[in-house]
Amino acid sequence: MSIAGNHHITESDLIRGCIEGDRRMQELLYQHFSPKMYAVCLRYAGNAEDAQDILQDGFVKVFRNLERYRGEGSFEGWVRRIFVNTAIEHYRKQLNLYQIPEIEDKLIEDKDLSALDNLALKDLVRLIQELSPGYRTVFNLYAVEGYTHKEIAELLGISEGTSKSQLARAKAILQNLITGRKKSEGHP
Amino acid sequence: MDWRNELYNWEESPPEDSWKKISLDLDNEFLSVKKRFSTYEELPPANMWDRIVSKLNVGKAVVIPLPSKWNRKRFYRMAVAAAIAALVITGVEFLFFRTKTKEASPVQNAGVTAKTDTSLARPESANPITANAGGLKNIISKIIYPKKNSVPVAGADATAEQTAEITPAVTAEEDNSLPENQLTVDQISGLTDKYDLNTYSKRVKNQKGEETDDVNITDLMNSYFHLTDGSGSDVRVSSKFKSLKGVLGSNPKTEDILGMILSGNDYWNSVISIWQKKLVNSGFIPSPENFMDIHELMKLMQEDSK
Repeated sequence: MSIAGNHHITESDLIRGCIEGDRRMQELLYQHFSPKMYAVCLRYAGNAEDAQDILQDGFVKVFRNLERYRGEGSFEGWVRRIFVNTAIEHYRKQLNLYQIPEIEDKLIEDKDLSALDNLALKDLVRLIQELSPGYRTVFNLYAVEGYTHKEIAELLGISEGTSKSQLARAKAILQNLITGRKKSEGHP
Repeated sequence: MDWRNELYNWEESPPEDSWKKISLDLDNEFLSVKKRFSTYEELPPANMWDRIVSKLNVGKAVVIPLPSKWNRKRFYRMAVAAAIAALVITGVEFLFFRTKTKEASPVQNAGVTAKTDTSLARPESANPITANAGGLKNIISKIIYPKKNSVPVAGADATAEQTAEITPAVTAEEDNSLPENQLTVDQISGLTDKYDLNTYSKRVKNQKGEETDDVNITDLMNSYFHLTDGSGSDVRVSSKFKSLKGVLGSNPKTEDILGMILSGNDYWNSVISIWQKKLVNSGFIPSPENFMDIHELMKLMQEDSK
């Protein structure tokens, strides 16, 4: 596996170099992962400034904890988890997950979110950023990262029911946002 | 073509969580969103790497290379040895020097009762406590304070000069004529004194904040001076009295020093003033060779305490 177009540098070389504090290797790792991780940060953050803060903190954590990576699972997956956790940590105080009462999943009207498929990714990111931190986090964790409600509940320290309610509300808000956008653009 | 059949029928178990992932994807109504985001990338701002580097540098922990297993053992052994050595040195210092310095304090040994205390008549080298503690301290002080101790002869000269100034009975020549080990013992007695600059002394400042002559005040290397009593015996006296005697002898230097000590203390200024007047009108002549002046001061203080 080559890294950032450097065919003679393998992933393990890169990791070893970063652990030894080789700044050149660290920059290579940054160059390799930063576009993907910045995209992750933008999804979890409410705006670009927050996303950049999360990206910065995330890479610092990656470099300082690299020796903990045991080679189990993909390296990219490990790096991504750090960024997701950093983003959650960044917004933990603002999540307000406990203030929302649990709602039976069945009681929430099932929204058709097929319209999301028609949005450009950048627009979709902007829509997600409009969600409150709590909704946004649960939506990202469930819809994009593929976590189960049980895993989300453990990660955020909430009940599964709360996780489900948050997702349902996130869906409803997204649907409303799409409808509002269509109206403003003059679509029927 | 057995290999083709084998290859055709070859089975391999997928990872344990593969079905879980499939089922999650089946349930995930945002599967298309998830897939789209899986390849989504966004370039961060150009200065982001600089920000990360600056943060890495700011919070940079001191990186101590981890020793190998063999080195680690050796490292721990060395650390334990160093800790034990530190404890032993501290213990020795505490047990021998602090306690024995107290015992050998010039204030106690050469107090006002100096005239009658025969132990004070012994030369310092004859004082077993001082000599013993001094011996140990000398060894350690030579290690810790090589510069200070590198001039014992100069110190001895100064001692001799100051002694000669007051007591012609003990001259510089005589001091220097002592055997080498005797000189060392003299130096030790200075170091065992509570006024040891290396450890305990406090800088004395005059009213201008200058630190002049503080060594003379504490009289480090000459914490004792010698007087010859009426019978011709050599008597060791605390150097504190030298300043008083200097006042009596109108020695401007010592008077100045005494003034420095007593400056700002109205009580002592008053006591000294009265004392000096009494001495002027007394029937005896104060001199380095008698203690009448000291006796007069004691009387004055006793009266005052009544």
